[in-house]
Amino acid sequence: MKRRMMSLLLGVTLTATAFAAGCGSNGTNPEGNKGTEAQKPAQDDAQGDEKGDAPQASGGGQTIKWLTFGPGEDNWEGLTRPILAKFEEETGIHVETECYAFKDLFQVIETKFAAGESDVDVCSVDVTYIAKYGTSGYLEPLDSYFTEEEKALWDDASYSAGVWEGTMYAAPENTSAQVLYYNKTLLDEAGITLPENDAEHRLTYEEVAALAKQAQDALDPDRSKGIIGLDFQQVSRVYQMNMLPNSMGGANISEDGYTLDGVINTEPWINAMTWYQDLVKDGIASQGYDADGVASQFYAGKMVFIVNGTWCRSRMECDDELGCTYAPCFEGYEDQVATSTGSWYFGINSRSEKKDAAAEFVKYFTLGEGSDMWLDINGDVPSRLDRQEAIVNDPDALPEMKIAAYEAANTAYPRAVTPLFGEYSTVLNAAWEDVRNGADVTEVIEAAIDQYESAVAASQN
Amino acid sequence: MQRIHIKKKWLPYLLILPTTVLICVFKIGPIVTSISESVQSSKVDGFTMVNYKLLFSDKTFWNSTWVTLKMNLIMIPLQIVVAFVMALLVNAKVKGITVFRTIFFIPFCVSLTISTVIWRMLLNINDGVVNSFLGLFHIDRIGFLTDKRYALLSVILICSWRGCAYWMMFFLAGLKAVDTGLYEAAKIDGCGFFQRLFCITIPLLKHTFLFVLVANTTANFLLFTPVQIGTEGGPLGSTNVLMYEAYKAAFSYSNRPRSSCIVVILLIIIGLICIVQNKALAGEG
Amino acid sequence: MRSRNKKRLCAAALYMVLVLIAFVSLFPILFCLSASLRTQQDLTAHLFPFTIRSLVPETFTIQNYIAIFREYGFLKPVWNTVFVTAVTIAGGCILNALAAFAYTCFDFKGRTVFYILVMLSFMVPFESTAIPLYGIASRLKLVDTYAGMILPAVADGMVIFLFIQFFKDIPLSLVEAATVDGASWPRIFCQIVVPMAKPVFITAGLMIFMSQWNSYLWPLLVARSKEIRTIQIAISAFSGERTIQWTLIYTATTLSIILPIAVFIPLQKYYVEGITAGSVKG
Repeated sequence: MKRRMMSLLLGVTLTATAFAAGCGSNGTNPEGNKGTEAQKPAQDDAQGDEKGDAPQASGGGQTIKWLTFGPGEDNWEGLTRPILAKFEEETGIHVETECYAFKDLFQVIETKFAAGESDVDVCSVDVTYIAKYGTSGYLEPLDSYFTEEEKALWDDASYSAGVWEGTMYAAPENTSAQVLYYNKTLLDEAGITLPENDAEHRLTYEEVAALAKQAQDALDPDRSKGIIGLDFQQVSRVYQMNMLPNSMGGANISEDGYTLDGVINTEPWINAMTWYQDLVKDGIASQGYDADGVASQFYAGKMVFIVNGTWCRSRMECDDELGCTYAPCFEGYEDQVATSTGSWYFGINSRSEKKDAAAEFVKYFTLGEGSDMWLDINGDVPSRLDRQEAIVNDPDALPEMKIAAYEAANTAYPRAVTPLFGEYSTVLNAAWEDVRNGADVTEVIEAAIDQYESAVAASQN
Repeated sequence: MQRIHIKKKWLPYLLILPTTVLICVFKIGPIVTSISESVQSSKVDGFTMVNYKLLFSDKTFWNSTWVTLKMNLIMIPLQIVVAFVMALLVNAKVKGITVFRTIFFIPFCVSLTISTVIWRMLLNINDGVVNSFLGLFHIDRIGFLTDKRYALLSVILICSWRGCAYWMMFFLAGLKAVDTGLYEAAKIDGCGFFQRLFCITIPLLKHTFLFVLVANTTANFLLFTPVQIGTEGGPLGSTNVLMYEAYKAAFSYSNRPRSSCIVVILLIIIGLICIVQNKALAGEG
Repeated sequence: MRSRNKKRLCAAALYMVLVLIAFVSLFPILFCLSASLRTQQDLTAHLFPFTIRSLVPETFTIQNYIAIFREYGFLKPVWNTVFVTAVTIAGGCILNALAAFAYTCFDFKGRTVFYILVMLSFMVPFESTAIPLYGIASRLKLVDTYAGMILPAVADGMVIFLFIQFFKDIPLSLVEAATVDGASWPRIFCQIVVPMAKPVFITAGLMIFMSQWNSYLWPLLVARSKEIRTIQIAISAFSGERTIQWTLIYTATTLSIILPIAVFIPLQKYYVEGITAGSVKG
């Protein structure tokens, strides 16, 4: 018995030693010899007890990994499952999803791709990061995987947003447009009818705010029910918040993409941020919820107005009647309507060892049957021209889809283009959140300019 | 103590091999990497201080340094005083004290990650129970983690809720080691409670105080979790501690040199703290 | 008479302070437990204005616990944490004890140099090197593996130090007598040293337990994927994904608190002795 214990102990020690020695040979010499023989056993040891995802050799039965956003059954993870099943049925390629919350995804991409990991094959890429990932060599050029005819199937704006310096790095999953949704049931209860409006004669933000307050006063006079008047689905994210200064004629970033000075310390930004801050101060817009939390309040029937993407209808949880109309404009800026656009793209990891399978999947999801399924499931605005036409020609299309088609063609305002979008969005997302929480607007803007400036200086080193 | 000389010369080396290799790879390796990354630049060949120059000319870095210092200046005295008082209390010889001792110890079992997740909900501006409770006294809802005035304090409170339980145990161990005869003698001499506290207990616990001070400082300089989960460095950079800035540089901006510079600076600070500790303890004899 | 009153008053004051601190210590945990046993509607509906119902559910339900395991697969992170912690404890206790044994009992060339390495790793906290460590772990293909979480935590200067402190007190004559009897070294270690050092093994195990159970930054970098992540990461991610389903988050946190409390309350003494060993006498 004791002898057995001993040999066991020694065995453990020796294995651990061999293991450690294997690692050491590489670790103490960080620059050199990747994947030496000495490391092999350690590697096998490390992964042996984990999962049996040994890579298969040929097309059928392959498994690729898709790094994406939206964990949970009611989010992308669950919603895309039928598409992945169908894809596997047709091609034999199994797609494994790895989902992260919005803010985590960018860090995971940065961590993995900068380190040159090869375990991820396909990656969901937010449109604004394409320039950055392209420049950093994270993504595989897709020009050899898509023919010119295939590229012509997307609308030009969607296609070109996936191109950086002449190379196509990403394929559009769909695009997006902003719609002003309202909870009709709540408005009725409050005895409010929405004034007539159309694309040419929009409601103003000021009007909507006043209506929202009126509804709150009627429904929740002592504010104990926590009914929110008006809010933005992507609160404290540049994607949607920047449409406020844009709607007053403010730009997102300088032409070269490297400075905010002279861009955000201007009237449109100061006025837009101040207007939004007052909206929060007056208790019309919320505080303390993040983007997911805010939207959930609307879906649960606890918010009157929300500026949201077209996926809103599919996410509703309460039975309240949903209405929608064109996104508002600011009073005095009726001719400067600007709405956010752009959405998610697919990119292929430049280190992936299964690029062909990955490309097949990307094509399926952006042009093939998977794309059709996805647009139906999530109610997104299509990037494909044939689907856009179908909406225009379909008299029964949902009202928000008609609105979205109009906005995409007329008021869509492109996001900041810069290889430093990570820095840009980190700095400005924080700025919007600070404004929301009552910090002095000019102080916030000055701090944001400084931070972005030092980030630019650091990156050019 | 004398040690044994053995014939099998290789034996001790075999015994220390695993840990030595692991320490080299996972401890010394990263230190060497950060130092070398921090003095290299893609633009300049060989050794360069350009990364440090950039860092030192950056307001965000100085703000983070200031935040880190400020946090330590508030948190450490707070934790030491509270932990010491807690230790004195549970050292009292009254009925049921062991129960209290165990209860006081419990927050320490909750990891800092979980504490932050819990407190973030308790302190939330919309549905936080703390704000709900304050409503009883007609206090308006407070954005504990979103208001510039309260965010750093809230982070400090979250850390201290757990931290005090931890440091209390050190003081308690120190108190247990004090010779009770000294107290009895002092009592007979007519010394009051406070007199005994300041004239006997605290001087005798000098060593423990020093240890807690140093260990606490080291831990706090590397504080990361409550900031990453609770405030993301905001509002207006008011909780943007150095560790979080290093993390952001490395994993949001992929700016390794900047992150390495900050890590090296933190290592230097910790090194200095260790030297001070050794000096102070040696001086004490 | 008066002094007796005064004493009573003192005792009453003492108990009041004790109860107050106990309340602050326990409140978040008890609130978690209570919130985990109610529905989301029940929780939010009763928050404002503050009443007893804000704290205590109207009706109890274990629905959250069922959901957290069935729908959100929380068994996996719990298992991951237990597995990673257990392996680290086993590896850490054995390897560190062996090294400490060598440092205490044997004289060998280069001992001081190696010992300085150990001391260095004792003084440099793990968190400070986690960020640069990622590059190394990535080159060693340790990202998203259990080994990535375990290996860097195994060798611990503090644990070696602890073992050395203890082994110092083992009478050398005992060891020497055994050698004279012709006992082999592994045998001496297992039959003489280990049995004497049982309490210190418990202490070391608890120290490793605590550092693994607590670690956040490192697993956040090295083991973020769903298959592999520990409960710390799972909960932090979960609270970012389900930003308003608080009862579920409260449930997850309650679950993650139970085990450490169950381990630490009975073994508290060993742990305290371990961590305070260096602080009282130096």
